[in-house]
Amino acid sequence: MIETSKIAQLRRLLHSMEESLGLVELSSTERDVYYAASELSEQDRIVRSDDLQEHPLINGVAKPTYFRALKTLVKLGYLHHAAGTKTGKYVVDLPSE
Amino acid sequence: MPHFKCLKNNLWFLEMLAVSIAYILAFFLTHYLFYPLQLKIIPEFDSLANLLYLPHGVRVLAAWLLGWRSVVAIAAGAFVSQNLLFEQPIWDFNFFGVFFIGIVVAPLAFSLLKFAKFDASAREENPPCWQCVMVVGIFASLLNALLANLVLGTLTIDFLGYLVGDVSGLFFLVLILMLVFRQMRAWGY
Repeated sequence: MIETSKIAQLRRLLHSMEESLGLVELSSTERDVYYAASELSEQDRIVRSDDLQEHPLINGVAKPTYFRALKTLVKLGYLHHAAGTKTGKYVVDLPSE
Repeated sequence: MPHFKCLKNNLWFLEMLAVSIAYILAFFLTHYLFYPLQLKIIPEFDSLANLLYLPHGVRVLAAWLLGWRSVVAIAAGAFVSQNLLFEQPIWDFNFFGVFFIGIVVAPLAFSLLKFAKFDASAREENPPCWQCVMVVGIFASLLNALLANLVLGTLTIDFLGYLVGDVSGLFFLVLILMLVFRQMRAWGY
């Protein structure tokens, strides 16, 4: 099991403040998927959906919710499909904001 | 350089370095920027207390993330900062008292509140709650002011000043970090 890094924990805390101040456009699940993907992308630029689902931040998230979150993140430009793939592999990207 | 590699791989060393540097930066910003501004804006506030004390934010966030490990992580930064400001020898009772209280007060506050069934520390099973961290920060500040009062015999105005400075320092540090991380996210980091 991958341990959530201190930086990821700090980012989650700061994001909870952003949420309270109304500065955020992502739901908590979308945010967790994004943070988990960001963390995994530190080891490998291409993030596999299977690895992402095993991340502690994603544990307990229902599969349909997880896939909806992935779709939203791709739509908003936080993630994009890895070259030559239509599903299963993602690259963390610049948010569209 | 095998010795450097060994140090680089040591998590405790990296934690200590990061937290101590953050503490020293926060301390210098507070004493050389915010405090002179405070003296200009409200000269009638006759106290040595800083009304925006960022180092309290560093010690609370370090204790939130690292627990009692934060005592070791923050010690070097607190020692350097305090030594530069007060220029007193380490064996001086007041110096050591303020130094010791400063580094233990935040993890102590987290532990005492956890004992009272209010666990706000950073755990995977705890949803992130910045308001909970603020509550612990206020409690830590009260403990700090009470203990500092015992050691230094501070006045009521200083007591209130320390409290306001600690709480505003923690809030603004979290706010600054939030804006920094937000900007970093926008840049794709």
